[in-house]
Amino acid sequence: MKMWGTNEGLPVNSITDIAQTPEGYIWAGTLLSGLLRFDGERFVAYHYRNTPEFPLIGLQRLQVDRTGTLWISSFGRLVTWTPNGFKIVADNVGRVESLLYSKEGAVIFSLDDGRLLEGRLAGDKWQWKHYPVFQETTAPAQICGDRSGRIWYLRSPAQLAVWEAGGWRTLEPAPGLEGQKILSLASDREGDVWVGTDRALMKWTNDRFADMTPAGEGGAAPMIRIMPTAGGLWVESPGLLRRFEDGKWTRESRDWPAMYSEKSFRFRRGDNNGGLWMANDELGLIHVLQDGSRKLIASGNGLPSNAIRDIYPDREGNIWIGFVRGGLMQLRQRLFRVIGRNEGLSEPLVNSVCVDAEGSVWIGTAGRTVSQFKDGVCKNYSLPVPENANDTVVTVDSMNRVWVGCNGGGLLRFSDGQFRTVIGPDKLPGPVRLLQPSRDGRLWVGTLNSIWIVEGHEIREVYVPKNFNGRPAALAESSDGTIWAGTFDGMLHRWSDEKFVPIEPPDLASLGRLWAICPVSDGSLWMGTYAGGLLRWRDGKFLRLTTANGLRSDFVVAVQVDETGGLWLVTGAGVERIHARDLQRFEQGEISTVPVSRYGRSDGLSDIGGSVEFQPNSWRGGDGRLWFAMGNSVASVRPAAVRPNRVPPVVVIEELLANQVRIWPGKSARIGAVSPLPSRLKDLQLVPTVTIGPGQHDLEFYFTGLNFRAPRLQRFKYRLEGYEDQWHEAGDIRTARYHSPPPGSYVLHVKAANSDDRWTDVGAKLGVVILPFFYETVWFRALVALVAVTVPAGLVWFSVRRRMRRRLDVVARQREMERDRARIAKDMHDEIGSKLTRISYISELAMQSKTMDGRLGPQIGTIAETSRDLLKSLDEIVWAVNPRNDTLEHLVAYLGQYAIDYLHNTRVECSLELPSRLPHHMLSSEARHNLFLAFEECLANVLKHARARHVRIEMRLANGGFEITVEDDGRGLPAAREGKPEGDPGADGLRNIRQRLADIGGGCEIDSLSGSGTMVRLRIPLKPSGK
Amino acid sequence: MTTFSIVEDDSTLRGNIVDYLESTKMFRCLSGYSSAEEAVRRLPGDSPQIVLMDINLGEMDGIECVRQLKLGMAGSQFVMLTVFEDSEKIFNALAAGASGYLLKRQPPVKLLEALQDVLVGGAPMSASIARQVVNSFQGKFVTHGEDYNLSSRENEVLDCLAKGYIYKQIAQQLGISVDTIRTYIRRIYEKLQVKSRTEAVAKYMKQ
Repeated sequence: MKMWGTNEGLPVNSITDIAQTPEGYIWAGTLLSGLLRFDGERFVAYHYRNTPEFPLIGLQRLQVDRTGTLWISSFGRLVTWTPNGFKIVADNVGRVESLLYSKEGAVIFSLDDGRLLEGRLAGDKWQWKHYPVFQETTAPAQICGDRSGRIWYLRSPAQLAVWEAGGWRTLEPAPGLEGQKILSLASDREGDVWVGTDRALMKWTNDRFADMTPAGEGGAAPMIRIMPTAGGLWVESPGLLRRFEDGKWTRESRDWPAMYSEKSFRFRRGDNNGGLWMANDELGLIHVLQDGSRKLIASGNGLPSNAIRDIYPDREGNIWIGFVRGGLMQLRQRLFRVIGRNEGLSEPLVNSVCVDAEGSVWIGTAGRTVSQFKDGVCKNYSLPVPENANDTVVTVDSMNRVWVGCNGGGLLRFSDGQFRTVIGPDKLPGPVRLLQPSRDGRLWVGTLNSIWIVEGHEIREVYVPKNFNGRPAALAESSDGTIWAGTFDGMLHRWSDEKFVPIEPPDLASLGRLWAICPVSDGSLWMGTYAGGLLRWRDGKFLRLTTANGLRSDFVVAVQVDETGGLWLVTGAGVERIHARDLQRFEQGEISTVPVSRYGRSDGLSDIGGSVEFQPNSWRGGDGRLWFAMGNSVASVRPAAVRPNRVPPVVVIEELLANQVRIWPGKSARIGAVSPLPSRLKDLQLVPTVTIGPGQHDLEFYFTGLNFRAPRLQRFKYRLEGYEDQWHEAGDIRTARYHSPPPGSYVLHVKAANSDDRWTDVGAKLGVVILPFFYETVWFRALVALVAVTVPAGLVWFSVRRRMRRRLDVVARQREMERDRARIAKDMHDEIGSKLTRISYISELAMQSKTMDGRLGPQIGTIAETSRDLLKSLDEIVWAVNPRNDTLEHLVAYLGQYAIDYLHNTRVECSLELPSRLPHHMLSSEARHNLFLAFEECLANVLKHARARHVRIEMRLANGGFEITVEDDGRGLPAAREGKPEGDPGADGLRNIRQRLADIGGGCEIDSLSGSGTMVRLRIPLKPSGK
Repeated sequence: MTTFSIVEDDSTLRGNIVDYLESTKMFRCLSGYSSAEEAVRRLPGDSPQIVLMDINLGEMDGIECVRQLKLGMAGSQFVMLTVFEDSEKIFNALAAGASGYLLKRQPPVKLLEALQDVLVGGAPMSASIARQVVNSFQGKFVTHGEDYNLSSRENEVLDCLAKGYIYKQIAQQLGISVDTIRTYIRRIYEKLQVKSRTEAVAKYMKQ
């Protein structure tokens, strides 16, 4: 185990305790922030302000009993948490110290004053009983519970007591311990009771203590401490720590300092991997691994402080550390080793990496240095090259010679502890990018513009690109000695007959640069491209793998093959791995997407972007370790040590909001939709269902996946059954949003995959029923039909039915459009927008160009202007189309800005009065669009016809609606002026305004006096919606 | 001469903007990048006075790029390039540490003027940006020692901007000069940036 952890964003605060409940949440008690629930990504705090069950903000102890119930103690009160939420179960029972025993319906706690607290569940109520302390003592007593609910108490080396059936009895002498001093007492994970004496290790079996001390070596030593872990016990004697397993001493922690046996530790705790953790304020955190090796983690090497309250081992093998005034930290296994600035690298940016036969790691950097890393020591070499040289590339040839190429510094070789120039920069012009030694002793060098062969001190150019895109991007040598090259245009080239012969991969235009080539021993090649994912070439055929087949990114910078034939890639999404077996299944057509494991910062990488353009940027060491040049460091991994996590995350649907108000769960911290369902939660209703009244509801579901190895690399997908058939790939987004689904009954399904692409099978489910308005129900339709039959006026029937159907049709259509609109808005914005920008820019430059033919000037000017106008219109259209803007707030902000821009640089001065705050109101796009056009019309009238100097625009909420007033000081309407509205161009505009407002159920008021201006007031009603 | 770097994934446009700005003899381009990822790694080494940053880039957008770079590049001013006046994105960029924004559709001459304006006066605050600033300061938020709540004067200026008043009207109403208003706006932006950084760190405080 190495330290990865970082303070996960908690405030400086005291952690009082940590626990994990069966579905997977990690809980932390704090002194000032209440109870925190953590899902790997987000902390939720429960305290007296949002959870009436908690009396004060501080929490003391957290314990999870055998049934999976979380017991929270807070100043005399006991609160339980189950997936049904919090519940107060006891008050004024004293300060709980620890949970000694639990089974279905029964718990026994020890209190800080030494008393025992027994709880029994009668019906749905807990009954509590206190039992006095065995006997007062000043010496630190040891206490533990066994599997049958007996409590064992060690008061002094001569006195052992047992609590059973409500009473204490002493064992004096304890059967089997006659004549021995009892030094330690503990119960193991199975509930067996052990004691350590001045000479033996004893276990309670068949009503007496039996000697379990392994015979032989070491003789009898006093057993001063017994610490249970998974699979065995750690037993401490002065200056000696041994692991006891299956009746034998199996391990010893070498040179166990005698001081450790004397010092007082805040805790000594076994974990789920057979390890032991101890913390002391001076020393820090001591970790004894299952094999007996020891690590000290202290404030000097990564801990924020040594004041550790406690550690908690979770089920995935991570260790959680709670600090006294320092927050919470997670330790997880580090998969990647990193060499960066902290390890002594002098340059912040890394270009290239290789490993020589002695195991030295050579690193080319963005400066004019090369670094050598061996046995934890980093040596930085400044190269004998000109001042302005930079960007070094390193490689090792088959004779174990280290070569360095340098931009502006030529080619150098390492010998006798220093670098010497082999080819000067005068003979090797252009930036060196690629180095590839070949087995015949030659060195192939790729510069930005050409490929060279170096033989001895001779250099010759062997490839010059015909155009820009023919530049070299990769060089490699396959196992048969063939040299391969990749170029900027995506072509693969094979060296034969003293020239490069191009081989064209299919769909060349979509590839971009072919800039990583990894030859495999069977003669095939794996290749990474700039935008086209991964290619394999074998026997003249190409195979391609892209994001459509499961890759997380089509930007593949480096490719390496591990000993098993599995692939390791550096891509735009970090490091990705594909197992050999999955590759075969893909090749044989058994699967169309391959499971891909993804690694990121949580696995130890300090940068997830790989070095590009320089090669070698990845390397396979003789020991099978893989090395990657990342942006700021070199990362390495031992593929065999990285086992995929086959446990899919537990998915929990946490909340459902309708119109931004939480409607489920009704109770704080209740969870109901969990999958896979831990067996202890089987009493949960499988698909909880929420019923919502009629009307428009914007639904937002919040969900999460519980997995702590790499929580941020989880992926989610969801589907609202009854509404859609397709799953939405949500990536790492933990929210699903639906804009007012029609009345009906739905089930939301959510699935999650861990960073190794293992998906939950069934997924969590939450049912939602949206009730219809009366006119949307079947019985109402039946009633209408009945009316139509019994009342001879068929006309009524027709009109009612038509209106009803129209209404339903409109709603259905709107919803369908909604989804399309979001997509269209994005496409227009990204595609059309950027290309129009280019047109406007190029034409603008063309107009200024000196070589320009004068006669074309005006035409090109028109192109520039038109494309700018188009962009402006497009801006408005994108705004109107994007459903994200479907709120009143967006409308007000946009119209205000629009008015200012519209009247900017005109003779009309504009003053705005907007409400500085607006409540949340959804506005249909139809309403928004019509209001916008009406408003635009008003402004146009003011500008074109009113001859106004000043216009006042006011927007406000009034009379249950929204009003826009546009008031000018111009000459008034022609009707008011001359009494004949016809023929005036403004009249059409006013008719339009009225019509637009009428279309959306609003109204329009126009007031004008000749010579004293016009006032137009647009009004739409607002339906009361959400809070 | 002012040095600048540009991050823009459309290489034609990037080239055009660089050519144009360099042709004025007032600007010198240090580097150009086509992705935010590359920029994050290389820009700190270039340390230009100005960074022109496209908002819509590949996987990482320009806003995130500014967020990551701004702390370590205090001497550089980030100016966003955008096709559309998407006020939400512009707001996010300003909160992340950008000094202003330029519309790509402006003719080059206007681009130059706007760039100089941004450099001299800081980003102006439109009504729609101001409304988002108001909203963002309304969320309850606990301060940890450092006080970056808005002063009452800053609040008044912000409130006027959110109501749609132009600088001149605000100057009249509050009896201060337009330059003073600019100073207030600059301070509001600074506090917004501190706040958004602190919020990013303290996202657990959602409760």
